[in-house]
Amino acid sequence: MQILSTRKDSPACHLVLLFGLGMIGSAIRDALLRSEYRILVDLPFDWQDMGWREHAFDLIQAACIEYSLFLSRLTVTWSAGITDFFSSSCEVSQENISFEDTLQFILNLRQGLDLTTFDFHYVSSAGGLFEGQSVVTNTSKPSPVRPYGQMKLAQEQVLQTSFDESELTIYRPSSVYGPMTRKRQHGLINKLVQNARNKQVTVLDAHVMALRDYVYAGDIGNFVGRRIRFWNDGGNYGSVYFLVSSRCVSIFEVVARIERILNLHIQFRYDENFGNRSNITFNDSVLPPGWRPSVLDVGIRQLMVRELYPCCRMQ
Amino acid sequence: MTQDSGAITISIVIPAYKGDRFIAELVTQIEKLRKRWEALGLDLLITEAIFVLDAPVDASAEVLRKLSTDQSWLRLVELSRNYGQHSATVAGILYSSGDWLVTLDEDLQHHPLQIETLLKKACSKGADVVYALPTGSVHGGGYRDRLSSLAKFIIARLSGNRFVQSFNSFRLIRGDIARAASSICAQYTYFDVALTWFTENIATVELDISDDRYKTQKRSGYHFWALVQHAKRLILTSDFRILRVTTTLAGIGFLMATGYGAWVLYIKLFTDSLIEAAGWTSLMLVFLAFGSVSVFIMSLIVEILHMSMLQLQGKPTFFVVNRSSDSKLVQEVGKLRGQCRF
Repeated sequence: MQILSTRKDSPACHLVLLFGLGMIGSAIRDALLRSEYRILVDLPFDWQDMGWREHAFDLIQAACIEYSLFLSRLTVTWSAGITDFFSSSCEVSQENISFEDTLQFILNLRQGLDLTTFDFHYVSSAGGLFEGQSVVTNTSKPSPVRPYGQMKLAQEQVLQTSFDESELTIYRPSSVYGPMTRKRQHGLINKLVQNARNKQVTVLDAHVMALRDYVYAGDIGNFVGRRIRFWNDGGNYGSVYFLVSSRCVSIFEVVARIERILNLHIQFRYDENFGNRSNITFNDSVLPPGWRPSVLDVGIRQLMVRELYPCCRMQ
Repeated sequence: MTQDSGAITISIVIPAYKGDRFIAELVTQIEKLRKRWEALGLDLLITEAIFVLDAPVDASAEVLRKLSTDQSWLRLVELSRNYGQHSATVAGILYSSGDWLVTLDEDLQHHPLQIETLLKKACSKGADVVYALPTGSVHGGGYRDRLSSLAKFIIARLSGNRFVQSFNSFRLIRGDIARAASSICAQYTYFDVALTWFTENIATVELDISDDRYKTQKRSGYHFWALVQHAKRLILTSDFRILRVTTTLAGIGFLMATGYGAWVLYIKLFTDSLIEAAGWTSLMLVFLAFGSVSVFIMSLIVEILHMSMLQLQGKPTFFVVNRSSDSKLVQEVGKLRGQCRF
């Protein structure tokens, strides 16, 4: 995790606690770093080791207290997690324990600090919540079918009871692709690009014509970053945002586009879940104002640029 | 609008360019069809009608935006500039998510209620694609009808693609196949030819189709040059059998030259016959041999180029299709009673 801050001596100092630095977390961090924010603290956050977590919490608290004199606003973003669609109930429970620990710590921290503004930004999963549903709209009811989606829905509900509506924003991105991070799970597009470049075979875990919705991590970073920076401007609090492209794409099309862009042949094979052809698609009525997802070709090209020229990445 | 996973879903794709006067009626007719299926209790849903705004020159965009506020199933895809009907259709298909897709024109020459006839045909023939074939002349028997038929006839003969003459913009396509074909469509790929790379289960059904806009006003959504572009795309995508014919002819020519040369040599060496026009025979032999070799090599090069182009366009080695829900479609379509009135 990282703590970002605006200038300490500023009369309105703002601390951002970033939990999770995977594809989305890094993109949010990069978007904030492009404005007036800087990295204050970089902490390891261990999902398994409770001792490490406690240690991290102590350090976060110390940093917040040090800044408390100038601190006018505290923002927490949660895009952390090591589980994915295929994680077992056991793995998901383990992750949820970390989440609940962190949430309890945040609630205690907020109580201890005299803050004028507090906001929590939670990154959920549109795919996890609406798996198997087509043409999802704002009125569609989440009905997760896997432990991962059930965990995300439960976490959303816990946050909605823990915070005021004006303090909480929930983002529901669809399948994310973007510059690789150290985290173990990478989406289909990342896997295909990486394997095509390394001339390796990609194992597809769904039917080649199963429809999915893909979004570029950088677009999410920009959107969430803007929401964090201009929290008070829009007056649009307590929202649930679907960060989806609303343009469904089959794996077949993804493969064709990547092959065309990379000018490389993609080798793939199907695993035993080949029959899994449940679609997850979204109606464009769910798109929030100000959300401008890149088209797939542009997103893949952006990904390629970031992969080929990693020095361009903001640190 | 989220549907349960059991229902068979249908998406309608309509390119919009110059049909603002027809759009409201078209949307009404689609809604009528949706309601009819709902009333019959079918597990068959029109989940979306995707209008692709191909930089319309009239008020189509405004009309559609207004209509889309009332109809949640109506979806707009706005292209950045005018790309033509073909590209607009491909774009619309790529935005769709239905199990089956219907593409139709904006000007009501393809009536939405005729979708039932297309579905019935798909069920009875087990087809992946069903084209509507006009029973009479679409444009009142004018040059457009004759030119279109002639171009399709010639290309069908040259390419050996027996489906060319069935191609029509009013079609029902299996969703997976439509999206797969659209995925590989490059600028000059003819969508219907690309469809034949994925399936040969193609059926046709005769329907009463008439372009009233053209008949009454001599106005059509797309001008003559757009149709020429259409023909060009069809030629560039088609697999040309004529190349194989020229290669074969060149091969025969070369064999004839070799045989004739051997015979002349035999006469010269082993018989007493005199070749009167000295040099002429050799010249003809050289012309025939080198000419046929040149044509043969050129035909091979063109064929290799053509094959490379098809590969570049994404002609697949194979494609897997899932027809498991067809029995349910047959069952649901079987429940369609009575005749639609329009």
